[in-house]
Amino acid sequence: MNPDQPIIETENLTRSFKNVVAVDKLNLQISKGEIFGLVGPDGAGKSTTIRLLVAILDPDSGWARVGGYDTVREPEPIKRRIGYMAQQFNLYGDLSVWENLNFFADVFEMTGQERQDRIQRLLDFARLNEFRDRRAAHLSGGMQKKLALACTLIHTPDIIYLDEPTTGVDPVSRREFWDILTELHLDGITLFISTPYMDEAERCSRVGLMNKGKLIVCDRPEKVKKMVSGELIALWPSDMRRALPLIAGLEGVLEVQTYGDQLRIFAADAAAVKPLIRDILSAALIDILDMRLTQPRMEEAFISLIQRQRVETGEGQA
Amino acid sequence: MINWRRVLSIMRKEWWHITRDKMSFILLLISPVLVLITMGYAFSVDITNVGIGVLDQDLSLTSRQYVNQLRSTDALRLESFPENLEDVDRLLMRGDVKAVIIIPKGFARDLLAGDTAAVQVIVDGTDPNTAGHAIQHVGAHTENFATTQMKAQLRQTGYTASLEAPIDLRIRPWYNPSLRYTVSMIPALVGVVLAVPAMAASLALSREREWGTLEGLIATPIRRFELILGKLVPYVLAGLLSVPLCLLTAVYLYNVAFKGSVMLYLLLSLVFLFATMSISMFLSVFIKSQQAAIMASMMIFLFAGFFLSGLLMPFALMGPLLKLEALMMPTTHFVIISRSIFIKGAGFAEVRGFAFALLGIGILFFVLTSLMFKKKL
Repeated sequence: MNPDQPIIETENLTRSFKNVVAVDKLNLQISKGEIFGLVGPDGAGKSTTIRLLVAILDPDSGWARVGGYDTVREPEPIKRRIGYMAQQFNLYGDLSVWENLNFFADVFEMTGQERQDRIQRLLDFARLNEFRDRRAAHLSGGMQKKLALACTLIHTPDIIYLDEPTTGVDPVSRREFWDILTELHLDGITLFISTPYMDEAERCSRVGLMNKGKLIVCDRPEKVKKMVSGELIALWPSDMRRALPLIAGLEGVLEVQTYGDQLRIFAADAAAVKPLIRDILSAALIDILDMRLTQPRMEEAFISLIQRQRVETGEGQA
Repeated sequence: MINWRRVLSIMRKEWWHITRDKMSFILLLISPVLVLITMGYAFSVDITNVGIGVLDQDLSLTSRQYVNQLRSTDALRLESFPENLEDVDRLLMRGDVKAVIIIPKGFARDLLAGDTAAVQVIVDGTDPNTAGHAIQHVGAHTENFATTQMKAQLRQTGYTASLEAPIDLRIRPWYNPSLRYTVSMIPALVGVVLAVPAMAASLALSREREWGTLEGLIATPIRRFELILGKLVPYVLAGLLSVPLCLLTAVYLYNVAFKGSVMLYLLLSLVFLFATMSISMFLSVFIKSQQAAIMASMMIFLFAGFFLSGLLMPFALMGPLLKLEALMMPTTHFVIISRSIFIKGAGFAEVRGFAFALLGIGILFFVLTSLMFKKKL
């Protein structure tokens, strides 16, 4: 395989279920060693995309190649080279940590000293050494995720696919989990991660935003943030509920999002809009506790991009 | 081509699934015995003591003799003596008696005059088994009584030659000399109930599908054949543990002597379990949920398997299509094997055909399962 060739490549990859197009003409190119983050709301088609790429689901049209192998015609060579951690906990709850690891070592035909070393390394790596005899069902959510990750790494795969690996995991375990992923990235493993969390998207080398089966943008995180047009004003009004419709109706305001007790206002020209906001709020007897210019974060960028797509497809604002 | 280490690893893992869930494991082991005990009592009761009524309108010495001799058999029990036809109607309607014998006026007179005397038997036809039993015994008794009467009359008229029938019929039921229903039914039932563990095997795939573990497994280089074989073998071995339990129940609870070789019986049970469990696994390839898989295997093994096994309806009486259907059921073959080894002490040579049929069914469904199972969602 040519090293310049993408390790994961798709062209017009499409898959429907009954009346829903889960993945719609997806074109992706991922290079070796990337951490690719697939981000999007529930039902965007993230899991279906991953299932197509691990060759356990066939596309209706289009194709995908992983490591140079076609997912429909040559699924088995792909399966030897990848690790897949499904969204649902997919280990055997009635088997211990040790038994789960050994089972997957057998499945991937690991033998001898290499196998022993690998299992020991993964136990250390996942910090599960002291829990090796505990049944998987009795581990905490975070430990279960780490064990699942360890099991997908047993055969030293080239690519690992992680479908929402940190959903339902506490913040401390999430941080720890990402430390492990970073180590893997440094080892040169290609990581394909789907996540609903924007802070995790910022840790990826590239992110793809998916909505309704379509890839809306696919770029480096800092570039995605710059795609949002206009400047961003953060505003803390004394009465948010009344302030929101007033500001949304102002000329020059592109979009208003709520975030906690603040309004995040996208404006074409912040300097022109700020006095208008002051006027309309004072007329309505709403105090401004604070107002300042700020940088859009990943979350705002995505919400903005998704809303823009909805407007384009004529669905109106949600 | 096949990685046996992987197959062994799947077997071990599957064995852990089976045995670590203690409650399910115990149920798996004893369920055939439980079914054997409950169904066994229903099937092993030889019909005796059927309550009958007698309406004697003749009230003669001869009619009384006839009635008294009826008392000497276990098969019938003189329950009631109605006085008129309304009583007869009421008794039968309430189910107090299953049959009523009506001896009409003039019974003794006709008999002594050498004419044909009439006896009427009214039978409750709602339960043909019991009715048939009553008819058979009343009939035999009446014939016997008539013959005795005839001989006595012939002697009176001075007839001196032999009065024995020219053919001496001697029936000897082999293998089951007393023709005990139990001896015939229990070994057949053992054959039927050993299909019960196969229901658990239908969970092997559907359970992993529901756990979500199958999705992870099909994303690995595991081979379909390895997976199916690795799942099948532990269930067959677990099922085999129930066989001695069933045999002990048959021998000690139902007093049916085991005449054949226990080793041969275990070996052929193994083949039978392989056949039924292959069918179960085949079902679970198509049936996605655990509950549906259990239902489907229950329909096949407990209903179709049971009714077509020859236990209720003799195989010879089935139509060609039904026969074909019965032959596709492993239970049909194993019921014959079980009866032959159990009651007749048959060796392998005598049951070879049925054993190969089971092996064939098992291999067919095993291969089909391995081919139809796809490593796709």
